[in-house]
Amino acid sequence: MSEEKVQASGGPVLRVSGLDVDIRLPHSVVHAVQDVSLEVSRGETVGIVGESGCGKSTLGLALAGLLPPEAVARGSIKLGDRELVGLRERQLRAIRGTEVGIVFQDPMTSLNPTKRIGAQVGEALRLQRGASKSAALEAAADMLDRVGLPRPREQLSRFPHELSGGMRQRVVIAAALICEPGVLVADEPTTALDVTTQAQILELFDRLSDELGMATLLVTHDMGVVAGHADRVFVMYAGREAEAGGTQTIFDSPRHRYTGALLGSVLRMETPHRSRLGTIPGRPPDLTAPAAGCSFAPRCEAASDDCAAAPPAASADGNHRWSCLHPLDSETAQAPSGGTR
Amino acid sequence: MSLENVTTLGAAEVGPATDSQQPPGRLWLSTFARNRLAVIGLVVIVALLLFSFVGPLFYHTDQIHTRLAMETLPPGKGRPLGTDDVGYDELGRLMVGGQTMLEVAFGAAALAVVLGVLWGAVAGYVGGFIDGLMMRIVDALLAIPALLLLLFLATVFRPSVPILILVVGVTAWLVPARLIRAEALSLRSREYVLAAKTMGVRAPTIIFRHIITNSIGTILVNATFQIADAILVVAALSFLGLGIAPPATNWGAMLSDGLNFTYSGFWWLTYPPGVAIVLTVLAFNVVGDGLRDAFGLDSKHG
Amino acid sequence: MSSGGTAMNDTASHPTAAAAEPPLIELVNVSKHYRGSSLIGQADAPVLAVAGVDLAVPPASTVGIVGESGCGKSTLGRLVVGLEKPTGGEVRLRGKRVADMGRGERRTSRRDIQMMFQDPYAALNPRMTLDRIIEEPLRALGGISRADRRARVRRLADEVGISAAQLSRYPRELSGGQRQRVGLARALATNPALIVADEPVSALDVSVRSQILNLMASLQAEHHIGYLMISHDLTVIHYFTDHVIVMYLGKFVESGPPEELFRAPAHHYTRALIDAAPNPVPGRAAAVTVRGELPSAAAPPSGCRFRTRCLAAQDLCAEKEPVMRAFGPGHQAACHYPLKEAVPA
Repeated sequence: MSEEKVQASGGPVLRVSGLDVDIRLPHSVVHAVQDVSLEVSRGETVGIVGESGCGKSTLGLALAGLLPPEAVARGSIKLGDRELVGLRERQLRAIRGTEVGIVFQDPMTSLNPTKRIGAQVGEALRLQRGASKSAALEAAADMLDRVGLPRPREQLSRFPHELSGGMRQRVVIAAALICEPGVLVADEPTTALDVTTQAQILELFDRLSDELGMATLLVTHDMGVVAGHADRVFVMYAGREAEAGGTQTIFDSPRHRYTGALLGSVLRMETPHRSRLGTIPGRPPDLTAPAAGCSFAPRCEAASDDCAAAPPAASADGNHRWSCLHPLDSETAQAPSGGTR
Repeated sequence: MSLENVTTLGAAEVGPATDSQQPPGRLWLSTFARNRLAVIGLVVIVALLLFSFVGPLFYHTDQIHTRLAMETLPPGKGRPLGTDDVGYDELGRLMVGGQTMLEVAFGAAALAVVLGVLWGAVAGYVGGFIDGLMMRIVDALLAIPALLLLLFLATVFRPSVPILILVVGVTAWLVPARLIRAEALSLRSREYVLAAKTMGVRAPTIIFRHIITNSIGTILVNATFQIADAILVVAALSFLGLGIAPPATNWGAMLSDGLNFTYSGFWWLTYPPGVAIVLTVLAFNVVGDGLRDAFGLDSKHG
Repeated sequence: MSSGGTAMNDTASHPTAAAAEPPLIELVNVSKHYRGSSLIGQADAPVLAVAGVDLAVPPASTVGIVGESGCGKSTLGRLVVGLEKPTGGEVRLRGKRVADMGRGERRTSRRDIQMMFQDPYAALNPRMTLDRIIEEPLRALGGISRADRRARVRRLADEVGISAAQLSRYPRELSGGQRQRVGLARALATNPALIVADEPVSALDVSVRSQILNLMASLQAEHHIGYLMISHDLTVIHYFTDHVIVMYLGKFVESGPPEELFRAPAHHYTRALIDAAPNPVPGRAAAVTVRGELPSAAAPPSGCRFRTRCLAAQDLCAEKEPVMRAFGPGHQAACHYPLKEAVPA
């Protein structure tokens, strides 16, 4: 499910170009996102992966229009024809929940414990589309059924604490999709759930993506989730794009050194028992003082002097893009000869 | 011996400093320093301490012998705040009074905090029946109106500075006990406490090393408010005539004496002690608020 | 009558386990109840976090416990380490019943089993420097001079990859991975025979996980310690342990060598876990082979506890609780309609 699907859907629903997000703190500035460009089309799921501090959550917040006041965004986020960067809070509020649905990690804190399920799911319809109370409840029941909640009408009058974690996450998804948005941003939507529940929710995402055709941005650290449920993958490191491309391509033939190292250190069922695991030496860089050149260079075994000079330009091969001066070979992780540190 | 493939992390690898670019442990200090009001309060407190304890070294007055010939003279040359009804210099009296106030207040607060923290930490950490028993005692004592108890104690015991410290401290320890018990309850299931248990660390050591040290914020904030409260209590007691016998005095007593002359227009006998009390209590409260914010505690604490 | 038993008597999967040596720790028909808070006298149904399990951990072995939330694996870990006392059954340390031990003896033998915690941000006292943290178990032990303690702390720090310069720092200045290293050093300080690792890598980044797992393996080879690894992550358990036990709602449902267990499980729950686990192989979506939701631990289903979610459940499953049967060397499962043929006793 990749190339053909993209062509059929008629162009990207969400287009990000040159996005920078800085977070202003009392004594420093965190350059959380630097020069990020990506596109998502109808019915497509893009997995945004990276480890902690890579900026993926900030990117997710930016796309959802939920950046905190101390964040400053530059560049462009185009939803259809509308530019999101630079919009006022009032305008963003009109878009959130109606054109962009948001699902967060923790279903416990995403729902208001003092409001009934039905009211919360239908809230966006009532506030943004002016639906009546009964119409909103009706639509809510419908949506709860679609997300697989058993006996949806009964659940309308329940409170969040009466439901299990998996059920709550379904409610959150229902609330996010009630206005049938074109884009769904999900930040670690299954991390707080059990494995079997996670599988159910991921299956739900797949089904809804097919049925409703929204563009989904799945922000996660879990390579397994991305492997099984994303059409394309966007790998982030230190606020920048390291590599992007179709899921199969990225997993089979990663080009950026970081992607290769990351995939090399991920555990699979096939990993031989007690074999020596690949690791990445060093630590993620300080985002308050971004390096002049490639941010991964200090940890990269193939880095040379030109890596530190300037951020590497992106090379591409069809849909596959990577920003590395010494990319991995298309066969196994064999490095082409280049300078060493 | 290092093991292969294990990166020995040098000093350079240690994580980036927090946003304040300072060792994060002192974050509360910088947050506090940014709070103008709290800093002003701190300055006022220091000024008052200097005034009361260092002042008399520069401004000599006789606070022992009465000089009835000089009674109730208004402020004038050589006597910035006039004299009181037995001839003592008012400004000098204010200083001496301040000494007593602050001694009792700090002493009582210290007593209350130490007693309360120990009680609460033990109750919260041990839990179960003992916790129930200890906290029911606290509840029972809280039900007794403090002022009545204080009045009773003050009439039974001849007031002196140590007695006052004891009396005020003994009624004030209940609040920190409750606060620290709450902290202990939440801290005892922290993983580092569990780790200490598995190592075989004994309960008293755990209580000091892990529970109390991690409640320092709450303790400090509460201690500040305790001082402010103690000042008010001492002032109240002394106002009611249960304070320390002359020639010692404190602002409450001065206020009480001065009120006798309200209609005579001797303002210098009432306003200075009154203003002093209000200023001191305000200062401590403001510092306490600032500390509470700096430590990120909510308004339940202290 | 205990069910869900898993005595690991099979030396074939534990070449290091001398048959004569008693297991380090044994849980015999151990249960752990928690009462609901009943201050108002309302008799809340007790939650049976662990319901009658048998566990024997031989020295220098690596046992894994896998299950989802509410299965009791964390409680089991705490029972093993001694942070909790069982409400039923008995615990034996090196063959001797803990209940028979005096307080002092209990304290000293408990030191043989230490713990590594999940949350690196809560496992270290934020107000203590690293050297103090690693030193604490040595101080609690007593009888070691300050100089010796310091030396030992430096050696331990070196072994886990923390430099001497960092020892005077505070935990907040370290990353998650570094904190886990300190936790490991602390657990090792008193030369324990077993370390219970409760989700030791779950809170860490992927590339840091491999560092810590490599470290744990090296330390095991170096010090001949055993691990009881508790995790919800099958890939970690599969990679790291020699013997796996699958837990569901307080009971053991299957146990055996990881390769066999995950290649050809006998129990439906194990199968469901394998199908649902996100495996980083492109195109392989997480599959759902269970139905419904986890039942309340306060009111577990009758008979086989898994039957309400099992796609193959029949009437017998509601009536009778299944007992452990053998499915191969060291491989047992408790199921009336298992996925493969049981091996005759």
